Amino acid sequence: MTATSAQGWVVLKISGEVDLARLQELEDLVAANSAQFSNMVFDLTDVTFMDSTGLGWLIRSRDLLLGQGRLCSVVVPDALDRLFGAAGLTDYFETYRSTEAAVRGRETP
Amino acid sequence: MTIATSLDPPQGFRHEAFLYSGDESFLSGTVPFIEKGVGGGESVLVVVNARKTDMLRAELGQMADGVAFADMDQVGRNPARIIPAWRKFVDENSGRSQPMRGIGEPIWAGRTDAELAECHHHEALLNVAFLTTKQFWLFCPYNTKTLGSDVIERMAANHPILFDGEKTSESQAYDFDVALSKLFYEPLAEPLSDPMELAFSAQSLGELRRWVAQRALAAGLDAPRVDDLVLAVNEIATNSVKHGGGYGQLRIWDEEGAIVCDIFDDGHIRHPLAGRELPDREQDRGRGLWLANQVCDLVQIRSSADGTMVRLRQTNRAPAGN
Repeated sequence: MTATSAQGWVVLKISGEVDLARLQELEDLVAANSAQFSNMVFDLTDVTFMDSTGLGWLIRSRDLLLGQGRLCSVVVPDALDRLFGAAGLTDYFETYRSTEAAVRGRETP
Repeated sequence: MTIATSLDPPQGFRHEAFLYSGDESFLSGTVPFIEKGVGGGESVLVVVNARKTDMLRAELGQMADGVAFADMDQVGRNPARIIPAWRKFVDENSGRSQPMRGIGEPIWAGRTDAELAECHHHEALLNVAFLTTKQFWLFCPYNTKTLGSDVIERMAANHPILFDGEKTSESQAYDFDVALSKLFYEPLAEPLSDPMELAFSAQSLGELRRWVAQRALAAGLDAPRVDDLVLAVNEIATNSVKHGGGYGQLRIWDEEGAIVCDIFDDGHIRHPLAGRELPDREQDRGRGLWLANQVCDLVQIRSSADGTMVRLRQTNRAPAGN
């Protein structure tokens, strides 16, 4: 996992499998990148597997960020559409297909 | 006791079985029911197979514009998805303060024994799910020409009201508590071939997923169906880890055209509608059984104080919905 910054956004790029065993690591990552009070993009492009534990983590993270007045966007690859759709969460997050689109899409003109 | 046959909307939830014998008989019971609803400005949803939908559209003519139709082969492939479909209908229409009526035929002669068992549980659970719903009449057609007497007996136990095409009566065999008590206790059939087994815990969920994926591919399941099964297995196994004592066992075997997994743990599932209620979008937990029901052809839950078993069945038939 990596965290980078771009124009007031922190990008958390998650790779590999997201399940119960990884939950603590993911929560620590969000906490570690919250000090700057910047907006956050969760880039799931390289996630090879995700389950409802991962969805729960995203929901809690979104709540935390929005509660602090920060923006939260998620980059969702095609492969994860089925998960989000089956969970009824297709329109719940601000989703994009790339980090560039996420950062560009939410900037004030 | 005979009830006067009126087509006026009920006060509360009216769950009624309609016994028919062939197409003409089917239409003679369903068409007046639908016409009364449409004529009264009610919300009407009909969930039957495509052939029956075509038949009804032809009979109803322009009146069909006032009816929503959904394909039971899609909606009810996994019977656990039927209650959410009715819940959605009720939630979307109850704000209209008009009565609601629907037709749902979940049981037909081609259903496997396992699907049939879950259809009966679904029918019993309708009495729970819509207990307090106002002005909702659900008509459940059963074809007496093609269904066995055991199915008809179970039907009578699950429906408070029976209509035979001429007379309406209270079902003497209806027993809310008995139907519910069967729900998580009815035994499941033994595996048809020798299962392979694997124990798991929180650390080995990844290994479990890869192992199930290999078995499923070897059995001839297409990749997207394998992915769906792996997601479902992972959700149930994660529940075992979180709520079932921290560990569990899985066994897996082939049946003709299908792969079947049983997941065992020491937990106890109590909520009768577990897995049949769309989770609130904001909730950050409790989605596992729901997800399994969306992506698997059949999910069978058996649970008591002695432990839980969840059986997942997956085939190559195209996934329903999205």
